[in-house]
Amino acid sequence: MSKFLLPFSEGRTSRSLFSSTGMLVSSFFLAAFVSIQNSLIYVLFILGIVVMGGIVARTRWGTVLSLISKIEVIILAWLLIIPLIYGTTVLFQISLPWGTLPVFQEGVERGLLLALRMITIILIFITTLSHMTLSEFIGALKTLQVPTAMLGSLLIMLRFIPLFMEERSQMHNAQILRGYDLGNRWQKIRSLGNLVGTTIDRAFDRSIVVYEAMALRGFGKGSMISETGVKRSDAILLVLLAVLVLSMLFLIPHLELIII
Amino acid sequence: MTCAIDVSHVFFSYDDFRMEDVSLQLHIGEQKVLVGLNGSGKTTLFKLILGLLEPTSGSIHVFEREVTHENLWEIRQDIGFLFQNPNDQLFAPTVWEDVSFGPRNLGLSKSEIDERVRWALEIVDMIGYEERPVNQLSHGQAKRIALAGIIAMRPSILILDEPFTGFDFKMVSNMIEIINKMRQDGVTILYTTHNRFFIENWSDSVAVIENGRIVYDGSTKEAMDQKIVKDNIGDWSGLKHLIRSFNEGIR
Repeated sequence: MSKFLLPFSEGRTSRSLFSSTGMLVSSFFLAAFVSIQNSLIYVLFILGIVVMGGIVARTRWGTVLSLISKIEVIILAWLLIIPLIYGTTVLFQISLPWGTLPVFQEGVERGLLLALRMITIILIFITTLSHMTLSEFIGALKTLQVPTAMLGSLLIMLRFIPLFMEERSQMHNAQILRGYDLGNRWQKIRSLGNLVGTTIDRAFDRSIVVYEAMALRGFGKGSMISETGVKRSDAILLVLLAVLVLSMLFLIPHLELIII
Repeated sequence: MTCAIDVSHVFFSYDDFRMEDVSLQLHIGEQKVLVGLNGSGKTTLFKLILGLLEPTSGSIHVFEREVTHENLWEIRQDIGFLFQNPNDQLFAPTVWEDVSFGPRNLGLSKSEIDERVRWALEIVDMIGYEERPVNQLSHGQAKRIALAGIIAMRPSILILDEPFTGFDFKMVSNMIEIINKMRQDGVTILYTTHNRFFIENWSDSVAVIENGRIVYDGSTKEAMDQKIVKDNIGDWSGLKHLIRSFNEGIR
């Protein structure tokens, strides 16, 4: 699995109770629901539900968390930048050689909310994807009427991104063996720039060869992707989502009142 | 003998490379090796045969049908092409899906597709790998799966671009066994190699391509005495002398 960029389970079919289409639609719905929440406690509640659901479904947390950790920098950036630029109530000031930098209370709250929303949404998607195979994911998109041409490109992209990453890593290792670390900062930047350029160049070359290989085996002549459809058990997902939304509307406001 | 592939007076050029008046015949049931130095035009010739490139002039016939835009799919069902690097060929998420790609495009029923995939995987000795993601295969396994993806389409001709590159001895024997099985079933073979051993022992005929021109095309037995053939597969005895004299110099 280490060569996979996304957390898909191995093989052609997974043994999930729900169809991949059902899981994907539910995660889209849940993610949309999270994105409109303006209360920290609501987002935390959904996050808790997602984690509990993941535990029940025996999610491979190692893979999921390792992928989330790869995007932590973006989340941290929100957490650190927003408090400096958003709000009017100064919480405290940071002294710098050229002056002071105010940290706003509204910014801290907003940054925390946005970061938590992002973590929850990313967790929802990565956890969902970890319960289906790549084929089921593509099949689910096909069921959702995503155009085949787009899915074909996506399939190739998901197959080749890990390959390019491996190639890039090998080339970087070769640079290290020839003294990459001994160079100054400018030389390092230039080497990395060349590395990225070469990887992209090779990617273009390879995409032509891959297309030729596919054309030789009749690309476009038949149905490349088969739909995964939906299962009756997907109704359970709908019910669970409805329960979650209703509990958010009625239960949590009461809890808030009790806490206050 | 009827020709499986008949390349007749083909001209082709791109950038600085020119292919001039290339003619080559591959007879049904024959195993021919195409020899040439790097950049001599071997892969270009294969691409012309497969209709991936179009000749400036001349004609190419596969089982007496001229390769044209209109019948490309028919031609490609007859020829299986194994790329030198299997990673260029494998693109589906799993082994089963990659091997079944061709049969699915042939419009076969589900049971026929399953039967073809199982048959092809059995030939390449990869039964049990159906669910394995293609990017978790070793080089040798990937090459065998790439070959399975081609033979699952039951082609009459196999074109193999450097089939043994990066193989250890065991993998080479395995690959030879697979190709021999295909030959027993009547499949015609055209392949390239730089290895003198295979040229001498594993081909009926040899064609030599040099700077975009076929400079020799004849039986393997006769080919090994020809200077032009030796020049293109390398003078290995000369290399032995070079190494010996270098070692003696060190001593």
